[in-house]
Amino acid sequence: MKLPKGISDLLHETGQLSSFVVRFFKEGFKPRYEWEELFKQAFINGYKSLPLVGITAFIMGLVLTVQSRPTLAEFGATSWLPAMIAISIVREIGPVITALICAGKIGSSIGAELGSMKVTEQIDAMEVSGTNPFKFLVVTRVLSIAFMLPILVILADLIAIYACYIGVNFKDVVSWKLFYNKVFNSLEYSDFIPALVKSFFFGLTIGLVGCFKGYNSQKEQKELDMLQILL
Amino acid sequence: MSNTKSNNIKLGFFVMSGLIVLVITLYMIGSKRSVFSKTIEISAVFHNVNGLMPGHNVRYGGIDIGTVQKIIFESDSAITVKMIIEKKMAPYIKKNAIASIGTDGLMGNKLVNINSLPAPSSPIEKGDVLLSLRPVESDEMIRTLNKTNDNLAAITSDLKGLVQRFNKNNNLITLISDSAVVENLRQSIQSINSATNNIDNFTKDINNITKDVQNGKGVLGKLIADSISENQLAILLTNLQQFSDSLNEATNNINQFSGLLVNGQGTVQALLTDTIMKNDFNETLNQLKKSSFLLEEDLKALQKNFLFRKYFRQKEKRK
Repeated sequence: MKLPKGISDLLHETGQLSSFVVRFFKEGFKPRYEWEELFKQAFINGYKSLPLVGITAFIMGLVLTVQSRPTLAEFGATSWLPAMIAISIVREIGPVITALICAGKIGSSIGAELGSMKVTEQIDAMEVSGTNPFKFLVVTRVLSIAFMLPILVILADLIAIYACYIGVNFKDVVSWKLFYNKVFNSLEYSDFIPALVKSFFFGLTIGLVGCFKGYNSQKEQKELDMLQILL
Repeated sequence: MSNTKSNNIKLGFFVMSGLIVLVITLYMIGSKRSVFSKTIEISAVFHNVNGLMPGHNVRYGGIDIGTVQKIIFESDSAITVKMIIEKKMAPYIKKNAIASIGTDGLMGNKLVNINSLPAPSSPIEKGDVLLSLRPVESDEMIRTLNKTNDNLAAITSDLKGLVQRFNKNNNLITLISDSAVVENLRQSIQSINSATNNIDNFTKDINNITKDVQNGKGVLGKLIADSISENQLAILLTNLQQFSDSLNEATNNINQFSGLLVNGQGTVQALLTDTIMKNDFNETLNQLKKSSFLLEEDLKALQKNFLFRKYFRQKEKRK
């Protein structure tokens, strides 16, 4: 039985991705660990993403507050604004928006970088020289994103909640102490912990997909151009 | 090399700041849920928990002092709500405090309210079971509201009929809008008010008099309270009876006399009944009147006579 090309391509890619994920877990837990490269990647993927994530989080918190206020004001429930925004940011919007930003910025950059290395045969050269390119290039990048994304989410939540405080004070006068009491009264561990766990897996997925796409790229200049445009 | 070190410092700062925020946030959330403070566990048994869940707040005097720890089904009509409350708040909560399930605001989360009673009692201890108040159920409220709506519909229907009757006939409106009527009404009310005050005063006076009489004050009081006065009163009543009898006898005599006058044969009876005699009597009286007039004239003439003039002047002077 001959499958249609689209379906067979999809199945082929899924199989490749699955074996890539399995290889990641196999290689990832085996010594020797590339600490230096891991820190370097963490710096690039985490620290350098903070300005973009921070600005997005600030705008997100501010806009969400300003846009939600009129509806709540109709019910005379503007005092619920800090709690509502805090819960929505911490539970869902913070991790998802941060993950999207990182997917756009880090995922594409990893894909382009590894793809470029692949087509210029740098990865092959590493293999020849006895270095494990998968461990050095893929594991470090994926782990760095997986560990940096929760930290980025925490800082993004903090920045978004502060933006919410500014947004609330556009029309109302709410002291920082009252605002922070309202926020922490509404938050539970069940809001915060799952969001962090979720963002870890988001990071893992972004790293794996980005690395898979770059690591398995073909020598087609078109693909490389596309990836570099995204950079 | 130095670039790598600088990058690592920046990365370290970034990670540390993230971890610090994480720790602070976890601590803040935990402290609001009494995770890091010393707590004691108490419980209350409810018939219906109305959607209360573990993690909801426990409030005492409007302050959040703990959280709901566990909700356990004891039987089909008893649900035990286990709560952890801050140990430092325990001395303020009495054993006779009552737990009830309420809502934070109109639409907020469910919570357990602990209300203290004024009666003295010792502070709660670990494992105490508080008395509970049956929560107001929304279904029950809606049923009551439904009944109220029905009553309201009946009342508005009656009101509508009443207003229609008023609209058909302008007499009442005219009466209400007439300022004279209002003024009269006001005066009437003032008069009623004044009369009521008078009645009130009168009642007070009567009350005072009654009290005085009961206390033996005054004539009546003495009469009632004093046995000597009572005897005197008996004597007085006997005398009064005798006087009444005498008066009765006198009345009978007068009746007999008047009977004789009317039915008897004497001159008086003739004067009363015989018209001829009556006329003669009248004529005699007229003649007497004329004679007395003439006599008076003669006497006046006599006074002016020189023989008697002196005597009458002396008499005038003596006056």
